[in-house]
Amino acid sequence: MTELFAASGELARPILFVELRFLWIFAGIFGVHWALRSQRARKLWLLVASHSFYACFFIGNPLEFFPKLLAGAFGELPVGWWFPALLGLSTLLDYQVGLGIEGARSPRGRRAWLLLSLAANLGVLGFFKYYGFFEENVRALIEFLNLTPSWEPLRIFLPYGISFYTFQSLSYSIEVYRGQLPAERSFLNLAVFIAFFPQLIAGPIVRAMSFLPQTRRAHRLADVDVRGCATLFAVGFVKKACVADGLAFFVDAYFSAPAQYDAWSAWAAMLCYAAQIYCDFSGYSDMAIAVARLLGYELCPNFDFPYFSASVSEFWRRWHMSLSSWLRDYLYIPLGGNRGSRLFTWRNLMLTMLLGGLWHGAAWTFVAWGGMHGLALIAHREWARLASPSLRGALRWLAVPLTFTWVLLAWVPFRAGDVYVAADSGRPLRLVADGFYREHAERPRFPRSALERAPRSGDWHDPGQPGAVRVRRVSGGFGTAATVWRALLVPGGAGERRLAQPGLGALLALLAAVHWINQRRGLARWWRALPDWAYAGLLGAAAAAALFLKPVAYRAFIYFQF
Amino acid sequence: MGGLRAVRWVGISLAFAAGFLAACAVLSRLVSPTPIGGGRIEWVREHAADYDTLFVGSSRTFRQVMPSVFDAVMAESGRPTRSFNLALPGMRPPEDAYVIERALEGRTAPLRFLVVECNPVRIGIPPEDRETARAVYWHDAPRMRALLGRALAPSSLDPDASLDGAVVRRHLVELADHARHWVWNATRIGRGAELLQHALAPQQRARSALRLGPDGDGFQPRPPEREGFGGAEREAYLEALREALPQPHRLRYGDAESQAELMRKRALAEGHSGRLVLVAPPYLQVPFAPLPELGIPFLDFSDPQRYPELFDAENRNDGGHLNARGAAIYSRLLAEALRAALDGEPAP
Repeated sequence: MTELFAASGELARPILFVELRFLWIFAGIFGVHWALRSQRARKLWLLVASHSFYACFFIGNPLEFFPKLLAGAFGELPVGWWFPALLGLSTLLDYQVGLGIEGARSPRGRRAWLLLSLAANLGVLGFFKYYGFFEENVRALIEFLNLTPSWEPLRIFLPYGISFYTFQSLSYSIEVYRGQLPAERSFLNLAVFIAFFPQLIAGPIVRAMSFLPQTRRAHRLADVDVRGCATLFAVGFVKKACVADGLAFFVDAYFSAPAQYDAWSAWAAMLCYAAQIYCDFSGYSDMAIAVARLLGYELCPNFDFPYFSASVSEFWRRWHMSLSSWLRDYLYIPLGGNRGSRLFTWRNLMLTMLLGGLWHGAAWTFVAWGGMHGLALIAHREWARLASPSLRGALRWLAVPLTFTWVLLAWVPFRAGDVYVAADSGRPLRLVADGFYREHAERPRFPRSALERAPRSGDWHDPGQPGAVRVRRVSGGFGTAATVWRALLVPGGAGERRLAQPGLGALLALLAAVHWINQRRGLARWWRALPDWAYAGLLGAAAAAALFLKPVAYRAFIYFQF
Repeated sequence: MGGLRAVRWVGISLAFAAGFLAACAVLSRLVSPTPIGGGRIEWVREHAADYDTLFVGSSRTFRQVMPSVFDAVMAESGRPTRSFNLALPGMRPPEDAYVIERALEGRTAPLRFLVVECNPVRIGIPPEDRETARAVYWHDAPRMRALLGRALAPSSLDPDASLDGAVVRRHLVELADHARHWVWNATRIGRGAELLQHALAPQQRARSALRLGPDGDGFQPRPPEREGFGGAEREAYLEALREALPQPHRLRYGDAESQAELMRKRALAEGHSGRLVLVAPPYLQVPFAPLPELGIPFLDFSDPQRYPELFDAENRNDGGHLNARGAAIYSRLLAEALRAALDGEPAP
């Protein structure tokens, strides 16, 4: 049993939307999907394709999926071979829960079914995601008491996307329980909803209410806005592959030795990180939405220019919208929301944000990140209550920069918990140049067995950093965070080294300007007016230019680890 | 109606391809491929007059041929050379031909010797190099032609040899991977990001600084911490050596494309008034050799009976490579063998 949970061996490389192999896989899925005549056959195909796509994250090349599984039956199975089955089990459970809730004769019975769903889904999520966190903290406490833990740590590999699909299937059970949605009679529809591959790994977290009706509707290729989808996908590609991966170089360089850099570098690195994480995640969301639309399905938007928010509460209405609305509807409001005393509301806000932070990963740095946002939400709430409208109006010009600065400071612990380590020894590793432009002769030479260290919850293998594991430190990272905060806020509290030339500031300003123009819809429509041939030619040239501007090595999406 | 729609989609696809290719053509013209090996190729091109002998090959040349030792021995024999080690770890044909072409591009100074490690054309990219600048930079049309020729050639020069379907299929899969890297190279993938990074943070790129080695001749000694040959690996090597010693020394001639590749290298060397010399480094494997009728000098160090000091475990870093002491011995023997070949004498 231990072997089943404790993964060992080399993990398959995740399939990224920015890779050519994804385009081939998707071309196949798209072609067969629209070639099929009946809606049922299409859904069945989407289900098979989604589960196979998910399996590829653990098994590797899609063409090797069945041979590997077959070979595994007679020998060693690939790492995580049974995780796709876990997804299937989760679907089966929630299907039964939905029917059970609807069929229950008493409110108590309905509640029991809901509790079963909550216990099973959160239990699985908790085990895979938080067992290591819990175990490491208990171990630290025991060692603090000068005792020796008597057990060996169990290393557990976190299945990709589990945080996302668990929340998604929970939304179904809760909505059925609340009577907002009838129980889904078709297992196929529910299975497509939970496993739909464009959003399976990193969201957006789609609500059953918005997706399930789409599974019952007839879809026509003629209704698909191919040009809009291609543009959205291209924008997502540029955000992720060119901007986020390009800026990662500066962020990784800074965080490899933050104490050595000056204050300018600290600000530059944090601005780069803010842009990196936004472009990484929103780029993924754009591509996921585009891919879903090409198959005739609409996913909810996930970002709405969050860095132009005038308050932290507005920020959370515009950042990772599918998660923040999930937390609001299924956590904050059930906790009582703002329907009570001030302290009660504060508690609910703080609890929601702390748990939201913990959702991102099993580490205290994420809890700190959530806590900072919780504090800001409370402060904003009190400001709105106490300050007069005229004062608020007078200081309105400060709102956006102040909010952005707070968000930036909160990103510090979010990023500081990450460290690259040599996979074979666990020692910290500097891989700055290698991740960006590695050459055979420059690459650190770790034994091939390097990747065979059993991964644990929170670790992730970045394809751009071979021989290394990106480790999420459960309790570390605060020292790094303190160094960065000091460099950002305390004059003279930083080192001498300079991260980059002032040109980096100009580049960031350019990115911000493009972002601002885009928010004003200045770039939104001009490409619609082009004739088809001109649009296609321009897209081809843009594809070549994007490849020119992207680093060669792929980096996994940051949110894949959550 | 359906036909019209199909024609429209074909037209749109062609327009996309045209836009892509036009942008690739502009980028290829304006921007050079990524400098690999710390810009050593560019260095040799810019300092053509300083070197008349180039060593090209894999890590068995990169870590084993010391130009300073080679030049000293050649000078003692009355044939002074100024050599440079242009090898790169993991480099096999046809990549080496690309490196040679780039290094000799625009060269006016005469070349004396082009000393190349003799290997057959390798199809397929090592997994650890896939999708890296290291794998991308050499994929151009002549290299793709060589790879295609290799993929479709029987593995033996025997006139009765036929194509093995399974091997051809495997080769075609590998060729698709090469084609992907070729397209990437046409877009100069990653070059824009790299140029930007160089411009914005030059000091962060210090690790990629020009690497000419301690003597400025391209030879890169292995860091001392990576030296050492012991344990099970040493035992396995000694066992393999014991098995190999009584065996008669053999050669293999590979496939037609690999031999054709050797002729292309010879033409390259002769085009610059130089002479191609092929080398089989000290390694326990049946060496690939040029066909005798090609008349290319071939210095074979792969026979442990003939060169016992090169196979002595004390002079090796692992089963495939020499250590610093072994490299000095090998560089001396290489110069002596070349001198002997030039004089028409048997190699020492």
